[in-house]
Amino acid sequence: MMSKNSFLASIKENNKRRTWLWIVASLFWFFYYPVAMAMLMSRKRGDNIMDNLVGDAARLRLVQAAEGWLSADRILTAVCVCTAAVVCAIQGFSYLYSRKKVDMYHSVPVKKSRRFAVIFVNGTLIYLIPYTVSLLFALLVAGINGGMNVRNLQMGLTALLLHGILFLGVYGLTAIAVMLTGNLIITLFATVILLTYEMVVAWIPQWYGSEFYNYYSYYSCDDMMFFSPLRWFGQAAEAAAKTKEGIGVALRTEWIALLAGLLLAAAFAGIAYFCYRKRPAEAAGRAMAFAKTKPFVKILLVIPFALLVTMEIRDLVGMGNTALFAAFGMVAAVVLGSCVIEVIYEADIWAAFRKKSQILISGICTAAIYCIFCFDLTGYDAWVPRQEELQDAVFLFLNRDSRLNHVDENLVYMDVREYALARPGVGDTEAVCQITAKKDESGHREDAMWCDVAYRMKNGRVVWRKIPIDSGEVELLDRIMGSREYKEAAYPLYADEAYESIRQHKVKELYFSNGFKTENLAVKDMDELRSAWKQDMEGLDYSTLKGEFKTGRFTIVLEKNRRASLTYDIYPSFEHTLTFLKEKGIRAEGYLDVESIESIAVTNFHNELREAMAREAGRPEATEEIDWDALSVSRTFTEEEDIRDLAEAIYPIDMGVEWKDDDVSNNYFVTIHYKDGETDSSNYRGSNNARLITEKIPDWLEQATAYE
Amino acid sequence: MIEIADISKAFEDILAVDHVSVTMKENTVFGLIGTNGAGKSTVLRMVAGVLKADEGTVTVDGLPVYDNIEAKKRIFFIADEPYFFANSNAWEMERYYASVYEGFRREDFSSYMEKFGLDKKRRIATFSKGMKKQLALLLGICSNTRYLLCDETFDGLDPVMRQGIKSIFAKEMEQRGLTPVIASHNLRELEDICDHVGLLHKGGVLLSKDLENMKCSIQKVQCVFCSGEDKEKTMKALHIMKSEERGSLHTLTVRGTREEIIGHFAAIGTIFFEVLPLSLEEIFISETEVAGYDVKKLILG
Repeated sequence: MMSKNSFLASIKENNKRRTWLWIVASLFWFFYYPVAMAMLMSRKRGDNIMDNLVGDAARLRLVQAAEGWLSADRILTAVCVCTAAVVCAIQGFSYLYSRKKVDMYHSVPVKKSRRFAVIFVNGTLIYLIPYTVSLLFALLVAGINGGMNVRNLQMGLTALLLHGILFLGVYGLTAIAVMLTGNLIITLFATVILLTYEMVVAWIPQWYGSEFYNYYSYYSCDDMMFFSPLRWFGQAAEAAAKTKEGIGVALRTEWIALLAGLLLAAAFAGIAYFCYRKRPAEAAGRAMAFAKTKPFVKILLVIPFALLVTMEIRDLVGMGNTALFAAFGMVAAVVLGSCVIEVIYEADIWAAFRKKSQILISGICTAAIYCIFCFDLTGYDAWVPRQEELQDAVFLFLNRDSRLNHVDENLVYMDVREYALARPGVGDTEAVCQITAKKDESGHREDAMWCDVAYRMKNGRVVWRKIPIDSGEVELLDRIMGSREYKEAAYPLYADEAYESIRQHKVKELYFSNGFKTENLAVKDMDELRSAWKQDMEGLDYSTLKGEFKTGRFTIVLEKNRRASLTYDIYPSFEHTLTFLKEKGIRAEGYLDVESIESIAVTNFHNELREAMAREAGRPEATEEIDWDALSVSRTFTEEEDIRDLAEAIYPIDMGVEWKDDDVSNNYFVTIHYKDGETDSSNYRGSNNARLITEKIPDWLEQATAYE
Repeated sequence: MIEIADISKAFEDILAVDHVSVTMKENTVFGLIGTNGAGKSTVLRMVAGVLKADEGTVTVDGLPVYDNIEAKKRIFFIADEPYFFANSNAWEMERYYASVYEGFRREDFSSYMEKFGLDKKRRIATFSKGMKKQLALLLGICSNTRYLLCDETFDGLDPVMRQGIKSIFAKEMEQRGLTPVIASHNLRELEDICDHVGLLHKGGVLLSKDLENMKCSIQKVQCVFCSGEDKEKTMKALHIMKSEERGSLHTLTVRGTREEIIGHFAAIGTIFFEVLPLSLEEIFISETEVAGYDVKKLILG
């Protein structure tokens, strides 16, 4: 029997006043999960009938649809969970907004700790029970319709776990917002501010750095969102959704994120409880519950607000008198922000200018931060590493190496920066320092390549800069990009331990592509291919990348994670790899078999005319007003001789032009039509579009595609 | 006993209660009187443990009351606007209070509700203001706490209901030593119900006295003196708090017991004298005027 003073009895008593929330939560999750799942399954079954899909293909469609709905990283579900957390927290503790209610609840002999625990736990149950029950029903509905498999069950459980952690984090944060404020509107503002403040504050130095510093690297500001439940949830949910194992991987690889999410939720609950105990009863109805927090909150809100407004105004003014308008924007934002907050605090329009010292402090702090960036008072741009202090450096040519995939030991995709930082950097510190010292000089060159560099100092400090490198610095770049450390970080397959890790997982598919045509390789030949490729890679350096067009590339598709695939390029100098491919009957020389081509359509965009017209108009932006279609001239060539000439110059669009962008013409676009009638070689196996290598463009082409 | 020792409470820049010290003894009806904004509600909310005093202490039977459930078990607080759960009825409120006050007397509550003609199943939102106050009082009485703090609770009650509540108070005081503490801005409302009165003004205590003592120690005399000499003797011999003269008829408010005053007037030459009954209002006027305040403005409007 339940004692009338037991915790459960208190929960039951509290529930009587939260019945409507139980009903709303139950109805919402019922419609969101089982009802929506039934509708989704019905729609997909209809699609199967329309498409005459049966058997495994039909089932796969249902399974994938169910997976999409159950996935933890579904943004709509995360938004609903966050909303539920905000509503449950506010509804539970909203009695604190009313003096009448506070008088009643705080005068009865119930411990504050008991009352807090009852409301807090009850709010969690109001979310958790309807959510869990509805999710289980949704799984049942998916199962009845044939949309369930083990992965979907795992996805459902992952969603339950991760959404639970997200709920607790946002719920705790909202509870803090309720404790700090005295009415609903201000609580909602406070909740949004608490959820986003860290993100905004972390973003300001990035924006300012990129605006004011020449060599600013976005990696300079590390991911600072430590106190956001959204961040930890997002990190874990993304990892879990990427793999087949769902909760398994989430627990194994993202346990830090899960633990951080849980600890954060616990910390928020603790802070909320502390504030609850300290909250004065007279705070009901006021804007802020704790008078002492008012100036700090105001200043901490006004400074980032003013910095954002200042920069926005600066951006709007563009090349005009930025200093004057920035100063005006800053003063206006500080004064306006401070006054609005004071008016909200006091609920009195005449209170706007009451706390002048706080306006002054906010203004001084804002101006100081602005000046630090504007005048580079920290010497950000001037910094260069001293060779004797430098241990190594990590080079990231993101716009050129972006096609390379990096995975961790669980085959979950990793951020390239994270991957590279976990490995030794380029140890040739002399070359690193020399290339860095030339940054000012290289910055003036149009063909400079921009590279994010992490300088790892001997004292453990990591300094990021984005520096320009003169593409003519062949000797230094060869030393850097030809180094084993650079290759191990940039090409995971090159490193033996990374390859060993990949081998541990089952390779599902291995194929070669030259951009037009794809040829399958036997999976058992992977070791041989990798060995040949690695031997060739020993000789790869900047000169190779800059001097040679790719011959093709090979891709490894991994069984464990159907979305993980690793692709590596092959160059004409890769003798061992090309020999291996030849032995396997794969023709890797030349992209096209001229015999199989029926026609080649070439479009000349006449960029030179476009630029001339813009020059004539005297405005670079005038190019936007020019009718592209009118200037473009398309011709189709069917003569074998013409096709042969063009085939020599063709470079497949699918192969990418990372290091050879300057050598491929932007003026021509090519479409190849094959004799067998295919206009597209297949969805995922290559494209029939190409560009032309500048130096190989036939002389007659310009005349043949001349603008009339 | 509720002991309020030198408490102060400020709401931001406004000092609501300024070093107030009052003692409320058991088994008496304590009246806390003062104008709007005098600090009555703040004092009661501090006694109820809702507000924390900035300075000073509030103890209930020796226990500090703030955040102390043992002290709160002895108190039931009826705020000036009592709160009832949304869409609830008296039965639901009864259940709630029975769950938080161990000694809640549910049978007595039913019986009182019936006597006062209140329907337990009717939604409280449909009750009149007076009915809500009755309900709050009955809930408070039946919670079986030693102290019942009523903030402006008697405002709006009709005379019949007031009489009914008074008789319940008397019964409860006799049976279990209930100590009601009643705050009001209207002295006339407390006159017939209180044993002890504390007068608050601008956050401070002007006076706190036993009503019977006050009544016994101040007398109102109407008299006609035989001569100016008799009048002079009287004025010198007695502690005259107030004196009015209409022709030869003098109305004097004098400090002293009834016997002392009658003895004095019998001894001097008067053509006529009579000791008249003093209302609580008149006692207050006299007491506070001595302290330099015009109490009519303070509590009588």
